[in-house]
Amino acid sequence: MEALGMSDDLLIVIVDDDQSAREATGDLVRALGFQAVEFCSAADLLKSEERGRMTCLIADVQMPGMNGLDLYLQLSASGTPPPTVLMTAYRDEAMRERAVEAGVDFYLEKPLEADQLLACVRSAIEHRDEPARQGPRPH
Amino acid sequence: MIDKQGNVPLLLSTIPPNRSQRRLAGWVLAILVIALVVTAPFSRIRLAETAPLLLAYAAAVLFVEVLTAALLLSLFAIQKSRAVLVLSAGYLFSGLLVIPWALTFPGIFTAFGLDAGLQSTAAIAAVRRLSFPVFVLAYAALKDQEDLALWPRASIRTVIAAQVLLIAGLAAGLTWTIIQADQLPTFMVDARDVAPLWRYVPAAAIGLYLVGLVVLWLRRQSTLDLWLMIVLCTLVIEIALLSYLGGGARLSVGWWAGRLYGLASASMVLLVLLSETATLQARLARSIHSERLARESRLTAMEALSASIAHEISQPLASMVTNANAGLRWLDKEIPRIVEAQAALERVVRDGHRARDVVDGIRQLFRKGTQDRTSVDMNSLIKDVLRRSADEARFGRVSVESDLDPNLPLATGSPLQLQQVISNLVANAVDATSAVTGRPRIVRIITRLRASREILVSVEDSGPGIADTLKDRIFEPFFSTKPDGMGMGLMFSRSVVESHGGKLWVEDTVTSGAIFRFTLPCSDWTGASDTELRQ
Repeated sequence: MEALGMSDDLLIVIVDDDQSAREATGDLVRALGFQAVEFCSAADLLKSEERGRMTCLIADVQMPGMNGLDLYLQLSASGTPPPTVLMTAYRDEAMRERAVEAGVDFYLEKPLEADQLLACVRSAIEHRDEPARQGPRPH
Repeated sequence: MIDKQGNVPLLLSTIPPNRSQRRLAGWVLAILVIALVVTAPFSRIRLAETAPLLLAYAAAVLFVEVLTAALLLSLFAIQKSRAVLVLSAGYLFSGLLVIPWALTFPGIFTAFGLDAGLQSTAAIAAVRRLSFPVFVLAYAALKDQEDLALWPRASIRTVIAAQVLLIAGLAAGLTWTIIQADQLPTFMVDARDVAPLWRYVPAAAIGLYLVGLVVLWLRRQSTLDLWLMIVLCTLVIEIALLSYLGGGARLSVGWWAGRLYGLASASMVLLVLLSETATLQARLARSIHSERLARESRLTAMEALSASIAHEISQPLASMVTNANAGLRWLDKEIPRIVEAQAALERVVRDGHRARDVVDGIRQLFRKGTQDRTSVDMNSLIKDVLRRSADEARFGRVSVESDLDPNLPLATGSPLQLQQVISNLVANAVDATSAVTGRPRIVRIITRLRASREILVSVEDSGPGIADTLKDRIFEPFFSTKPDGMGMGLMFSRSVVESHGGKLWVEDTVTSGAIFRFTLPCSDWTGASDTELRQ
């Protein structure tokens, strides 16, 4: 699919309850050269088969039901969590601290800028040193 | 701070006396009369060694009357009323004349060689006695005249200074003239007893007091007027004691009793001025406090509203930026991905529309909604609401009754909003009533057509009612007496009713509960033309 063809095996999962934000983030991730799959709730992701294949998780913090941080904690509790980028429309220092303490790699404020998101995703993937997954080199 | 008539409200000289002030004035008068009756039989007994007390008395009168004059002047500085200015002049003049009166009193200052002629004290007393009611009469006559509202501040200060200098000069000049005069009217036969000529003075004074009383009674408006009438009554009693019951003899029981009346009368306006000032201060502090509370609650509402607006708008804006970024990335590829870029731009357009819809929605919220207005049958709306809230009422064992006017005309408005108002009021009434024990739990909803062709809907409950202090607050946003209440219901209901051209208010029932009532214009020809005018 992607011209440089290196990231077909790199699956980025996007979880956001807001449809327009979800579609926008998914498309940006694809434009940056990754494969993206979108979910409208944490519960949907946890039920899905993509759960085991994801390279990186990008989730909204404020969601009804299970929020982004809850999702990360749930994934940590059931094994090694994927590299995770949480994003939020509200500046909330307490939430940011809790997220960083819990081990979330990046905590971004919306709107997402392409360069920033790309850097975060790359860095999140590289820092995890997972032998099976080499960082993509999209351009 | 200035009302339609240009009066400064809440001043002693402008507010009418309330019932408790009138009652207090009545009691004071009654006590004074009783004291008069009690002292009368002993009034001719002479008390020989009491002359030195005279100085203490004079000092007290001077102090009280000058203070009263000062307070009246400060009242004048605010209200700029000529009448108050004249009254303060009366108090100042009377207070200042006490000085020469006491200093020339036979036997008091002999040692200092200040003992003036036998007639001086009496002449000063006569001037003082007759001038005060003249000042009061002038006050009563000027009281309805226009205030000097247009005078700048500086010239008010000049007026006050000029008046004080004038009155002081007048008192000093008069004293000088009396002491220097070779020939004074023969008021006294000796240091203690009055001559036949004196009897004209109390008679004239009583005449002036009575005229003053009548004029004040006829033109009475303010609390100050009320207490000035009491002052004149005291002065009548004083002169009766001094000159008639005491037989005109100085230093008798009646004379001293009269002096005490004089002191009481001089203190009266001062006390009232002081206590009213304190009361007004407290009232002012309270109103500033409640004003601040109201502003804070408006601010809280504004904050909540702007937070939700910010959220609603920032979501599509954030998506627009992300989509635009994606679009740029698609175009930035070696072979630009036109189709994907196009899709991203289409999403930018869609999000832009979404943001605009949010803004439109907010605008609709504040434009007193004329949308979705149809003819509404309030009776059937109420029946719907009651059918739906039946379960809730049964749960709280509340009996919900309705008494609906079968000839009720239609209203014009949004059925959805009006339904929310009714269900809100009924739910509140059921909640309030379900906690009641020991009396029937009843919620009654009544519709009537008022003579003014307005529809009146009343929701009456047998609950504990609403404390007077809460009656205004319950309509404020975020104010709730319920543990889990949002405090938006009554505020919403009131704004809906008012946007429909009606009114919503709360009353007490005859027994103990509350009645929420609201009116709506009915959609006959008056209502219709009203709607047309608004569009």
